[in-house]
Amino acid sequence: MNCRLTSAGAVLDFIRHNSIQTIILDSSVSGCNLSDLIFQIRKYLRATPLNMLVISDVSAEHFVVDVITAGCTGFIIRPYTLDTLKRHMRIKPEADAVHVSEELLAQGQSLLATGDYAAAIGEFKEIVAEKESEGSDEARRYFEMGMQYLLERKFGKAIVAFNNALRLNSLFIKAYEGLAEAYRGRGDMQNYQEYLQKAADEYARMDQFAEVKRVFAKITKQDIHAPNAYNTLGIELRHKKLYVEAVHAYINALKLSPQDENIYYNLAKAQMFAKRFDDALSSIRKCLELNADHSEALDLYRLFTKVDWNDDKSAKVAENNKALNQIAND
Amino acid sequence: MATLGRSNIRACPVCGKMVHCPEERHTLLHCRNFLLKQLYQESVPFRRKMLQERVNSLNERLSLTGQNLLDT
Ligand SMILES: [Zn+2]
Repeated sequence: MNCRLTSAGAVLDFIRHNSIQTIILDSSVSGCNLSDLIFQIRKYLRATPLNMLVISDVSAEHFVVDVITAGCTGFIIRPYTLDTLKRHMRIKPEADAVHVSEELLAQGQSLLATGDYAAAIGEFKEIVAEKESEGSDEARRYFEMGMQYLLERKFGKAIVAFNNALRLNSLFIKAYEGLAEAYRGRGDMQNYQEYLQKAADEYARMDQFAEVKRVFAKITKQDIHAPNAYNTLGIELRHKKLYVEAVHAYINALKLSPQDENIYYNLAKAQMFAKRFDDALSSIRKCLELNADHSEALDLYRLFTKVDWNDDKSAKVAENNKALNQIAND
Repeated sequence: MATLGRSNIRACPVCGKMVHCPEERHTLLHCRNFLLKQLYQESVPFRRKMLQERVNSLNERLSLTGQNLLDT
């Protein structure tokens, strides 16, 4: 079914009552800011895969960064040819690695529908197998690639990378939900609960990625002369209590500026609030090894170990450290 | 002008940020962050140069290096 709507309110109302595969948005949609509308649609449809194309008269960098980070899957500038539009309209993504898993998901879902729970579990588990193995996080890898492309102003590549992150997020959510359903079908309520929780965790991560993108967009637009945008991102995320994401931002910051003691200090602080005290202490140590006069880091070292850096450089986190626990719980 | 008497906002003599006293914590590290944020957004070369000099002198006073913000 095709439908043409002229206001943001009508679009949001329409997607509430209809299942959608493709949305084409004009840059002059009335009633709200376009990137806000894209963000709202994404937020509402969450794990549902969909094409969201923006056709625009505007190609100013600020505007492009906003719609990309809000979650559009394609950006077309006027005037455009029909071929361009068709290319962006392809519902079926190319035969990439993510696509293979998407086919597995479809097979799993149809097995689930016929009541073949054991076979369905096999398909779903194959999808999440790689994710569950230690150290492989493809969704994050694509997500961080997207951010790097934004910094380099390679917008087309940024869109593709963010799309792939989103596709993987929703793939894992559907696979976990499928696993939960299949286990429930077999009367295994313990596994049912466990996989529902994993689906919920993945939803939360998807929301966090969306938030990180928005903060990052703001930074890359405003702080154009910042030596390290990831450091600024880390601070903002720490203040928003997104500690895990803040730690990831600082790790990326250190790839750009490995000798900056301040980034180690910032990382230590995020790790402290994430309650990773041992990691935090080793970051403080790295900060002080680079700059032994860093007064904030010296204070933090004392808070963690209850000794002075100059008295003992290899002290451990003090046991029953009430002051530390209290600050980390703030 | 009752508001004037009650107002506890004053400009920091080091960085110029309007600070709410005494609720808002404002140390030299906050000054450094405030000036760096301005530096990131400043595109006029001579103003960048002036900001850069102020950051350098603060870095010296604080025994810090670099131009990255510190989580305060
Ligand atoms: Zn100041």
